Amino acid sequence: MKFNLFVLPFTIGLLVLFSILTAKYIRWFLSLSTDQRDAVIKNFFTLKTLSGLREIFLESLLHRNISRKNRLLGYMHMSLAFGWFLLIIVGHFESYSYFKTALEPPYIPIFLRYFQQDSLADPLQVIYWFVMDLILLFVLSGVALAWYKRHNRKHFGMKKTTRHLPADRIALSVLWFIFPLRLLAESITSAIYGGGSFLTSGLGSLLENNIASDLSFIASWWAYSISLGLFFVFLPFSRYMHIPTELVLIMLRNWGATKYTGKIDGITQFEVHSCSSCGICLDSCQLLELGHANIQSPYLFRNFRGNKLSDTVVQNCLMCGRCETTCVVGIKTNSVRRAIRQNSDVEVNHDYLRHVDTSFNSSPDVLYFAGCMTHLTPGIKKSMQAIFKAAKINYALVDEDQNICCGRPMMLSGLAEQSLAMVNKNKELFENSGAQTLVTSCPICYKVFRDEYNLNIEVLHHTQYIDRLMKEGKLALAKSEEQVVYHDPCELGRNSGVYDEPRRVIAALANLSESPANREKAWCCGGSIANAMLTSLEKKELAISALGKIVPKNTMTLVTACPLCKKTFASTGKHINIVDIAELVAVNLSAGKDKRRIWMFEKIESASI
Amino acid sequence: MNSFGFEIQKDNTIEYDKNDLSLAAFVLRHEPSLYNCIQCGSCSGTCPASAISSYQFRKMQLLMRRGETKHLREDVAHCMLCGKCILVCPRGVNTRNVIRQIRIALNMN
Ligand code: SF4
Ligand code: SF4
Ligand code: SF4
Ligand code: SF4
Repeated sequence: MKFNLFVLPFTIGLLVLFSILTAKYIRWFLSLSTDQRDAVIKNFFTLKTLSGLREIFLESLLHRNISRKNRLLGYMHMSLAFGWFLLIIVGHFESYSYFKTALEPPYIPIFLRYFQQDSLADPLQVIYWFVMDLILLFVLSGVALAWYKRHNRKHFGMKKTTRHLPADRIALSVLWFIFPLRLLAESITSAIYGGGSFLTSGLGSLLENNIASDLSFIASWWAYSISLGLFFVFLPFSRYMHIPTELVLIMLRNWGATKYTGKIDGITQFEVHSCSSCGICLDSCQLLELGHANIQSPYLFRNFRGNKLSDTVVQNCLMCGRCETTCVVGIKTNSVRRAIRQNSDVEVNHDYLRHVDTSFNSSPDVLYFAGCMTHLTPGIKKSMQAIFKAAKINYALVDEDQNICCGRPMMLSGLAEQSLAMVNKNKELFENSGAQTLVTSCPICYKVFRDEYNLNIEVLHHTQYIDRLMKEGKLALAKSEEQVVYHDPCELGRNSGVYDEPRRVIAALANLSESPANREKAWCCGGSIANAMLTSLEKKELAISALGKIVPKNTMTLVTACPLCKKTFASTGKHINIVDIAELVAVNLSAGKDKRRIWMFEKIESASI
Repeated sequence: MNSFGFEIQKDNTIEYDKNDLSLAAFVLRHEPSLYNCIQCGSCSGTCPASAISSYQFRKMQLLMRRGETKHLREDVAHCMLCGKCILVCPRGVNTRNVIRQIRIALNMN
């Protein structure tokens, strides 16, 4: 039996790691919902498993997503992950070529140069030595870059990086030591026993006369083994837990088992533990502009992992989703935050909703739900009514006198269960109408009606509806030469995926220019209903900063598709026309007659903020 | 019958010295913008819950600040968090966070 005491730190570390991982993963798997578990079982023996493995290879080993953000950063991650993987795999093949068994203890291929010191005069061995040295050099280049990055992150396309916890720092330092120590151990071995290739034997010949001795020989192998063992023991308690967990998450995602269930479940755990705290998402968070620097997704996840959640970390977030679209691991940051926000202790009593009359005395084809926010931007509501009229649609405005909130603000605040009375009342209203289509002007309402109400009625945002009316030729519109820029509202764009319809409508009416940060990269106006903590001045600051970035110099009109965006941008008092798509359409309906009237009306109204 | 506040108000004496103002102090500490309130009532005027119930944000926070917290729990339960009140408040009071802080304070004891 090939054995030396120095393999113990490595072996014990590995055992500890596997036991902790198994215990945690089993617990999380058991807390999957029935639907999630069924999805795993149903899709396990299908091609989805293969596509999951392919994604693991591309993302966890080659780090393709990170390379897309920044080549150097991608190379750094790839050299560490793929390089280490290759060291293990090629190490196993090399070990097999010497000992002709695949059943040796796991430490043999790791410390192979110790257990196979003799040169065999075999060309295959020389090739293996060369390849292993090459891979080690590859990994070491990654370590060097990682070290360099701590001080020069700008070269890696990052302005901010995460501040690390003690456990993370220990694991990180240990990780930096692992491969240089391996190099040292193999080089000293080469100095004493010969063997190795350009790297290890090269360094070995330098060390031959001063450092290489029996003592430094065994000490270097001990050091290498201890660094590995320490890393394994710290891994489950540090951000490096993301290495194994991301693999599982990718598989679960491919099996279609990651649907949001509204509470903290196994999927939440896998997502939270898949965050590497890489900090790539940080630069996308606008709250940093206000100096709120400890609430971003990696901090939320980390505090969740360490059971140290504070009210601020959980609540001070716009849920704008900008970090979600930049996350290289594809973590559903918004869903995770929503699950963490759930709080069933808060009592809510909406019994008074029984006073709302849900009967209809007409039978409309289309329901128009303006929404709370639209009631505060009457220009949008009036424009929509004008559009319905011009297109001769048999519609009904459902929330004229008694409007019930759609429930999404409560859901985003962690009160999803408590919002059920509102949801049910609204549903009753929609279903009693007998209409086939529900149109809303507010992207917040749109998102929740479409994705969480389970309605039998088609749900459209007014941009989609207007686009349809235009396609059907129901609106006679004249194109103007006005230069406008479009702002994608978070809830409509990033969070609902509606990008093209608004652009089609605007392009038919005016000259549309795009801001550099558009579509999924769009800025949040700052008015988000998901954040109850920001002061009115902070929101205004965000809005001013966003406007500055969105509106090109030669443009005087910003078109948006959300009453809340409109209201928030208008509160900045900037000399820019902030109009909703519905208003743009309505003024062009009347072909210029009262063109400025609606917008001026809104300006006066919003100046009071 | 629903009450829209048109009935004859019952006599009410507020004993400032005896009332417990700790809850109000907590809420004001965590959302100081409430100090800016001028009791204009715009919030209650736009509130969809106020339109169909006797709940009023303005009244609730005023009573709370006077230490009249007997009905606070049932009052604050009415809010739908829709955020209309924030948008109309001329004084920049972060009404939704006032509500959140009241709920936190109520759940603390
Ligand atoms: S959702 Fe938006 S505000 Fe919240 S952490 Fe992500 S980027 Fe920041
Ligand atoms: S959320 Fe994603 S991008 Fe942000 S630190 Fe975590 S892994 Fe990196
Ligand atoms: S957030 Fe609450 S208090 Fe404010 S308007 Fe909406 S329901 Fe009324
Ligand atoms: S709108 Fe603002 S200032 Fe007026 S009563 Fe309500 S909170 Fe106070």
